[in-house]
Amino acid sequence: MEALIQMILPSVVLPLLLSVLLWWISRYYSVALWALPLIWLPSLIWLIGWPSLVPAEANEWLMWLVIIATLINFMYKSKPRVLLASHTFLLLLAVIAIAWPVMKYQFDMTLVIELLVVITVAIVLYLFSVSNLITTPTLSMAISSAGMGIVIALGGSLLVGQLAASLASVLAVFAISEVIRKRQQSSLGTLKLIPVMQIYLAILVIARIFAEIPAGPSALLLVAPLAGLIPATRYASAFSAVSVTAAISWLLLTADSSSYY
Amino acid sequence: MKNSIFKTAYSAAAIVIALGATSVSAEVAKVGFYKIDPAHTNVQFSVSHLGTSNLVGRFNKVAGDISLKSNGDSKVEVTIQTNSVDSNHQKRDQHLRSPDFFNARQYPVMKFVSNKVSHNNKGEPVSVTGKLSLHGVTQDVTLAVKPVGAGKDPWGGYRAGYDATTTIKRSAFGMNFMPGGIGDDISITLNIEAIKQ
Repeated sequence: MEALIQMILPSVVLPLLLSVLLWWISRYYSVALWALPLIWLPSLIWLIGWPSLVPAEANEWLMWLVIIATLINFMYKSKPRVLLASHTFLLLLAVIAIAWPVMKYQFDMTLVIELLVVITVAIVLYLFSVSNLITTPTLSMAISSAGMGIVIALGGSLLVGQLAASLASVLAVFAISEVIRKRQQSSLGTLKLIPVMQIYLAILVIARIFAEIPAGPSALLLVAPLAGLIPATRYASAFSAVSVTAAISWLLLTADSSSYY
Repeated sequence: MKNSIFKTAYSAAAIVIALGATSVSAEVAKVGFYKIDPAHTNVQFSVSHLGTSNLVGRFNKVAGDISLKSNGDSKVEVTIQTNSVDSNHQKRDQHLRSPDFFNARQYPVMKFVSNKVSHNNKGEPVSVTGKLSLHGVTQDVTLAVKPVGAGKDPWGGYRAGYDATTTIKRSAFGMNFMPGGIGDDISITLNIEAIKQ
């Protein structure tokens, strides 16, 4: 029981509380919404400890990714092209940094191709985000993140799964808010969600490389936010839910089903 | 008749090997440079699970050298591939390789390098102190050593064997995941057989 509480506190309770607080503040000061990705940081630090100034492990790069992505978002919010290029370049650097410990021992062409696919999906995601046409982007990202948390926890690493779950918890309040507003234009808007997408993709890369999440479920998790954003319909989030459910099912059907934890 | 001949030959071979083994265990290992024989070396660990039992696992890929000297200036170096962790459960092994524990793709090897080897009055090593690098952290570790035997093997080579034990705290090496469920103290046993070069 104690172990369960220790897992839930940083991955669900803390980010949810911070999310409620930010949502409440943003009712009076809408500018606060730009800080959404930053409220994920306390969970990250709780889970992996205070990251080194020069990160030694893949998880530690996430802190710098969040901070720089938030700054880029705030600085270039009115310059879509610069914003798009900066975020893409940042993710490229982050992905190289994350994969470097593996690549320095052995060059792996398959891994390079997989990383290029991630960057390509990211560019598409950011392009649609800049257009800001989607009605429920937060719900879609929350579903994708929650699904990713479940897949990673079941498939390889509770720690990395908790990082994804905390991201879903950060988004949960805003996602509910979107649904309550009957899917009118999201208060967040897809633009403000780009740093969240960066975190999502970086966690997915970490899970694939270091937690050995199989290629099939990883591909479905990569597609999940995309599926939720591309079709500009009222049911966009349902596409994310379908991808995520397929990823979880795939993992459960193909992985060793004997009880372990 | 045929069976009887085979049985006699088999018994004779068994006696020869047994005699050889007896001579192996009788003496103190000669000074010299030894390479660890991975086929006859075992690295095992034990850790408390939920405070109710001890889980035992091992590493299947180990290599290393022992430089045995009479003046007490002996050296030991052991390298273990962290991705070879084997706890007799495929799913758990994947979890042990993940960032929750060994983070095997980030830190593919753990390495022990001695800086002091203490000998008894017969010249046998009894303890080894050195640096253990694991999970990106290097800490001082002392192993209690028990010489098992040494001598010629049936193929003309010369072998020496040692059992070494120590206990480390995984938290000291930055492996802090699930402190409540999985014990902090890890007992490590190395059963080493080394071949003189």
